[in-house]
Amino acid sequence: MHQSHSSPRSGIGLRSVHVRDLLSGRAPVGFLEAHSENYFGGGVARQQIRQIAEIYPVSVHGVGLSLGRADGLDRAHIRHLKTLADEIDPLFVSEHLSWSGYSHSHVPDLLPLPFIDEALDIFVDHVSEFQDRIGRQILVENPSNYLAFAELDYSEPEFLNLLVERSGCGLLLDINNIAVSAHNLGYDPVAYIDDIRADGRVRQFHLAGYQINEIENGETVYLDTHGKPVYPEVWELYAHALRRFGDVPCLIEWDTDIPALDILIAEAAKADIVRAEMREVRHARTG
Amino acid sequence: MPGLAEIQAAFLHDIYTGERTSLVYLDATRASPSRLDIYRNNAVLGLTDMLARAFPVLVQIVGEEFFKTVARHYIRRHPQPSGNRHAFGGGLADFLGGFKEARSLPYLRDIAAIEWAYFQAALADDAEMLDFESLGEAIATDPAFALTVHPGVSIVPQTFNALDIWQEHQKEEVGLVSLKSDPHQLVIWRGREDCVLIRRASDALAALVSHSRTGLSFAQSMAIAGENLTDLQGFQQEFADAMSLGLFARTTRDVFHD
Repeated sequence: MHQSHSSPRSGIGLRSVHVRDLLSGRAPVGFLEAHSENYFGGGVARQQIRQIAEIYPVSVHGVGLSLGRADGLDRAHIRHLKTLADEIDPLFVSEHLSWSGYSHSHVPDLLPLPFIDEALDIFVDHVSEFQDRIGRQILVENPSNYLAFAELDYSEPEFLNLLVERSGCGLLLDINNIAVSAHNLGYDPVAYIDDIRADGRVRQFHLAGYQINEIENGETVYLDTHGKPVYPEVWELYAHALRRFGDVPCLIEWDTDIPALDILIAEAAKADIVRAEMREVRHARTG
Repeated sequence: MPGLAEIQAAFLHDIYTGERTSLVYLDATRASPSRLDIYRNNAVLGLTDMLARAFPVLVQIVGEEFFKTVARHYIRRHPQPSGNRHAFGGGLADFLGGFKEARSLPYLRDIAAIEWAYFQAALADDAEMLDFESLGEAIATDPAFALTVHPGVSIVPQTFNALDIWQEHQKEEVGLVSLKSDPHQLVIWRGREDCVLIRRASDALAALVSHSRTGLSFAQSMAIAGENLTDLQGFQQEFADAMSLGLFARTTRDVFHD
């Protein structure tokens, strides 16, 4: 199976408003992450991703496959993803620990998965099928959660550890999502990171900014909007994750109120500075 | 705990209807069940945004607020069928035809049909165009040769002169267009250099496209097109133009249908 390549400099999300600038010269980023579903089919967008992939390493990040659905995977969706992956040979192929469709209904969102035995069996089967069909290892990302299920067999880190062990996939740890879910569901984000097994399977990090909202009943909820700079607490968690999982490449996600390319590049550079600092800390400890 | 299928069916039902049948599966002590609305809002906003991207002229004509009303009703009756975001919205034209709040704007159905076909053409799989030389060779060497229609081609029936309105809305300054009853059909596809093209289609050309798609041979499809023919010279010119502008593809590719 095609394994994901290893650690480049940090990257940024590929957004259509930046494509012209990114094609006009080599921006100082390690890689670009494209939402897979934006590049299904042909035409101008597909042509652009081919051109981008000639200049930059690209990772493809899916939001619509619905790996956690209780019925079977959408084979047409997988064929689209495979064609895209074969064409641009991505650095990583990733999807989410969630579901978004069942039977003939779908939503453009990442819905929460109850961490029960049945869900684990289904998720392992679906990740294995997806990897087999595209001939590549995939990374599975922890989503932001807003709701808690009444009966669970596993915590989210336990579920992820077992998923990795049984399917052979890697992990994409979204540090912002850990902060968001920890606030929303009342757990310790550092303990979450410490509960993820540090065995080389964490292959990528995501960083982003969340939005703080007060909902009808007066509760404060963090929303994973990807529309702000990375919060200081998330930078601290990121440093902790680097200490635990090693020098893993990171990606800055910014999907709403998208800023100028320079601002995104500066956030990615900041992520690399934190990586360099953590490398020095590790060398000093081992040294 | 019920099975995963039961939970997922209830959750999607709640998102699309606004009901709260899935609350029984949730732990209200850890997170307020009213947060179900976060998922519902995300879904409705996301789906509305997908429709707005596919139907920009419709948004211009009816305004954002009315478009949101249309979208809300449409979404409830027509859930997103798959995770392919390009596949959502195909029923909006017919939905508008029966949407009583839009009864005073009967041409909206035609506008939506043009926009959906345009959207599909722009995003269709790439395919190499069939040239005259290859067509001639294929006809000469293979009696069963069938035309491959470019994956992005749509034949779009129209009741009004909606294309005039749509074209006016491509300009920065939108002028007034007189609405006229004008039953006809359009052919919409992606041609050279990824440009989407819109032309009036004769009944003969529409028949040729439709029957070629079913796998009938070129000779059989042309024979059926001939039954719809009113102007031989006009059709010859129309076919030649369509060929040179990429209406037909060189080979059958593994085209995906979701």
